[in-house]
Amino acid sequence: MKAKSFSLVRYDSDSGLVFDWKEPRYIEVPNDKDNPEAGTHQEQEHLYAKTIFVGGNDSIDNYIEVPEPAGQNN
Amino acid sequence: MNIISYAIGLNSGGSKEPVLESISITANGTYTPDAGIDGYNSVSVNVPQEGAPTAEELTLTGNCGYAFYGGAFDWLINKYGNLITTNNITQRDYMFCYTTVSSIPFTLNCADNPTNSDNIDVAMFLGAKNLQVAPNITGYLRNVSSMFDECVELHAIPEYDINFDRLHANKYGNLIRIFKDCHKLRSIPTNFLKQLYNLTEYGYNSCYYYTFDNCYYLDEIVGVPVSPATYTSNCFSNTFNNCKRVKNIIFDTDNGNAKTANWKSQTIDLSKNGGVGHSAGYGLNDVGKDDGYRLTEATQITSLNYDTLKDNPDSWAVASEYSRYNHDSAVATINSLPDTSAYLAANGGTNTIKFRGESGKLTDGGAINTLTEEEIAVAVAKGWTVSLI
Repeated sequence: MKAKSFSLVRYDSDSGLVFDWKEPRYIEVPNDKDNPEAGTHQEQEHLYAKTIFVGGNDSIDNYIEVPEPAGQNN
Repeated sequence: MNIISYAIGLNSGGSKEPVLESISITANGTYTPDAGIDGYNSVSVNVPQEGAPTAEELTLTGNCGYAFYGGAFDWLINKYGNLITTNNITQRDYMFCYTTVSSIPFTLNCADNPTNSDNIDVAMFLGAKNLQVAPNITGYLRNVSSMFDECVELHAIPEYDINFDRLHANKYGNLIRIFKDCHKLRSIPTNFLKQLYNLTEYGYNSCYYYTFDNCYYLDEIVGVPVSPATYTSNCFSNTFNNCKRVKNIIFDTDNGNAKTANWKSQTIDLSKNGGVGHSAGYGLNDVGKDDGYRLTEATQITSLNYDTLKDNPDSWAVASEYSRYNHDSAVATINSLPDTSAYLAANGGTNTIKFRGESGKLTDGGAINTLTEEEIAVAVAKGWTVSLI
C-alpha cells in the first residue's frame, strides 16, 4: 500500500476533555423509518475522541476541546 | 376430510395370476373393476379435501405486496407452506412484514419489473420476529431497503441466485436498516452484500443509516458497498453499532485496491461495541435457550480460557481487552477504506474513522491503540483522520 508523504501528528486531549469538530456536523435523520416520503431532519453529531491523528488535508484547527460528556464512551 | 377405503380385489385360490389395472381417483365414489379385471393396483387418489385450497389457489403470482402482512395468513404458511408455489411475483413490498412464522418453506419467484413503482420490494420481511432462515429467492429484486429489519431470530441468509441488475437506488432503494436488529445473524453472503452496491448509487443522505446496527452475532462484514454518489454530510450514522462479535469490517475493493469515493464529512464509528459485548453481554448470552444457533456462556472468552476459545467460531467477549475486533482488524479496515483524497483535495473537508483504542489489548491481534504511524498513514493518505476514544 502506497502512502503519501505528509506530516502526521498525534494529539491527545487534556484530562476530562475530548476533541469535537470546530465546525458542527449534522446528519440527516429520517422522520419515519418506514416512510421516506416523510422527509428528514438534521441532528448534530459529535466526535468526542480522546486522540486524533491529524495529517493530509486535515488540521488541528478543525477541532476544539470540550468537556467529556458523562457515559459517552462507555 | 372424506376417507375412502378401496378394497383391492385378488383371487384367493388357484395359481392363476390376477388381472389388475391401475386407477386414478379424483372424486369420491364406489369403483368396480371392469369385466375381466380382478382388481386394482397402483391406486392414485387425488380427492380434494373439503375446504382445502387447491394447487392453483396455493400459487402466488402478480402483486403480493402486503400478502402476509401482520400474520393474518400465518396459518396458511404453517399448514400449507410446503405446497405453496410462486410464479412471477411482481410486487413484494411488506409481503411478510410482521409475520410470526419461523420459516417460509417456499421459494419466492420474483418477476422482472423494471418500471413499476419505486417501493416494490421495501421491507419484505420487516419485523418477522420469529423467522430463522430467510427463504430462497429467484428472479429479480429492485429496492430492498429495510429488507430484514427487526428479524431478530434470523440467523442465515441463503446465497441468492438473483439477477441483481434491477436493484435500483432511490429514496426507497438504499441500505437503510436493511439488516438492523438481525440479532442472531451470523453472516451475510459476501456476494449479496457486494451486489447491494446498486442501492448506493442514489445520493440519499442517510444511505448507510443503521445498516448493520444491533447485529450482535455477526462474525464479519466483508464487501461493504462503496457508494459512487457524492456525499457531503455523514451517511454512516449508527451503521456498525453493536456488532458485538464482529472481527472484520471490510469495504469492497477493486481486487484489493481501495475504491475511489467522492465523500467528505463522513464518520465511520467503530467504537460503539464493535467486536465486544459491553453491558454484561446483553444480546449475546441466551442462557438456557441453546437450540443450535444461539451462543451460550460456554463460549464466552475470559482471562482463563482465551487460548482455548480464541479460534472458536462461536466465541464472544464482554471485556474490551478481549474484543474480537482488535488492532489487526483495524488495519484490515483501514486498508479497505475508500480513497477520498482526490475529492477532498478539490473540495476541502475531511473524513473520520473512529476506534476504541483499548479494544483487543489482550488478544493476539493487540490493542487498536498500537496502530503504527505507517498504518495510520494509509488512512490519512486516503483522506481519513483516525481518532480513538
